[in-house]
Amino acid sequence: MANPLSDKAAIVGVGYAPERFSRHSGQSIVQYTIESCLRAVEEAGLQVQDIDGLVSMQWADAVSPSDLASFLGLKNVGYYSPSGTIAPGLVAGAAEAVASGLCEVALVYRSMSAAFGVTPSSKEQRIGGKGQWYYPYGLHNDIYYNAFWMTRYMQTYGVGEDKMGTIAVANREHAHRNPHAVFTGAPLTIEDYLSSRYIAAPMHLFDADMPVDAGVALVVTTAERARNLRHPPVYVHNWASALAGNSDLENWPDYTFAASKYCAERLWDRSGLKAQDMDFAQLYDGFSVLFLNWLEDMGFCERGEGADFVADGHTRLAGKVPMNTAGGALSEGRTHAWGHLAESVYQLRGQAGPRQIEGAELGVITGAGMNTGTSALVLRR
Amino acid sequence: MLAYQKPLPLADELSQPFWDAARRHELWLQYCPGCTQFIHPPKPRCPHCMETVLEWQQVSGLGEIYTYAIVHHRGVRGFEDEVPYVIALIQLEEQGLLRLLSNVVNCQPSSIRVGLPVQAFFDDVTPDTTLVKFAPRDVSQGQGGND
Repeated sequence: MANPLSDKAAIVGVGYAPERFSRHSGQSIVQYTIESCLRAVEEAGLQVQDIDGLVSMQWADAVSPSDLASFLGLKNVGYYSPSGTIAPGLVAGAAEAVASGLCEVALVYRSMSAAFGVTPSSKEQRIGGKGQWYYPYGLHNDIYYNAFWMTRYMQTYGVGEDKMGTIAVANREHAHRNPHAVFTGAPLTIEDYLSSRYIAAPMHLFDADMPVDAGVALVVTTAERARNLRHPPVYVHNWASALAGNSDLENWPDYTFAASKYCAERLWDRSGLKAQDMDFAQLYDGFSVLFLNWLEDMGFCERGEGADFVADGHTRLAGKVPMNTAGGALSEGRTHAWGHLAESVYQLRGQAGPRQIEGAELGVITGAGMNTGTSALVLRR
Repeated sequence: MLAYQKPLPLADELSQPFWDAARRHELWLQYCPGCTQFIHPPKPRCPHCMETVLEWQQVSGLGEIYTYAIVHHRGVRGFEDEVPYVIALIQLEEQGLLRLLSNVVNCQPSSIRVGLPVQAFFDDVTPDTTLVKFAPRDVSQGQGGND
């Protein structure tokens, strides 16, 4: 069914803090959350007191909407996000909220600290719940089990590490043109990738995103109000979410694809669009295999051909479909796809500077995947 | 002897039969008599038919590696000196999509491949806890089974 809320809301402001993502910013997460939100509001040409919606991802490292409302002195918030979903779905939620009048100007924000992700081993020796099936065997975090997708994919399709590594290399090339990126000016060759240490083979160090101190905020408002603001509106054109309903590692049907498959099917079905209509894609790359899953699950190329697609240069700025044009989570830094969203806004406004894709009108942004659920969003100029 | 440092399972209502069986050096899994399917990890109801009266049945412990990772990162207490070690999803032979997560041991990590035949064995890691682990199976002798 066509989406009745298509293009009824737009992204009108973007804010980053710190200006360049950092391993050690010397600031607290609260400081740069506030800073990124204020910059987004200012960039949009709005006032703080215009904000009446607050949307964020409430997982792990997070500054809650109720705390942020209190830090910013907001007294009139009519919509705030429940927890659970991820970046593209939260922009969609904000679009739904402004389109239905629950609020008029929503901040969609996410901050993370570099310290998060250094997950300490549990202090308790006895582990209950789902962990009882995993921890006793030395599996304690998602970095390890993401390698399950890599192994199965690589051995099913006969793909070597030299091809898998091109995902990280391609993203790094793009990061050099992004002043916000933690890895600007730090080259990465395929030789660097292959000689880097394994986290959990076949996953190398450079297959995992870079934890940084980072805050990214977006302002979403009605299409009508957007037309009278400072920058060209970037319309929230279409979106989809999917819960795969299969969150046991043991029961994931096929480790050559991820939850992205179900979300991609819904997105294209719902929007009447297809991968080949996109001028660019910002695909979630918290781990490089997730990028590969999205690439194939969305239909940018055939199954088993994703690594070749990247190695052949089709995702580079001058390639068939430029992807992760700001460097992605692997090289811009980990923001759980907020960096992907912000970059898409710049591309569609024509403000991406040395990364600009000529004539970009339509782009897709995706969230994490693996074996749980995910969301995806199409933005248009 | 040094105390065992690694994480241990905390059994609950649903998982108790699995860990009790492991203590006896047997591999038992939850089973739905309604749809005649095994369920793992165990669940309060059968996810296929919502049946609440579920049984337990013994399985052979024979299977093959579905996928795996060779962990080099020292992130889990007690495993620091064991890197690299193998974590794997083992597809059991009783039913399609019936897998256990475990370690594959008694072999070089670099010799492991998807599809490698393995069999369960029982590792009494403490006086009251036994873990189910897997090792490559010698298929030429055609034997297998528990322990």
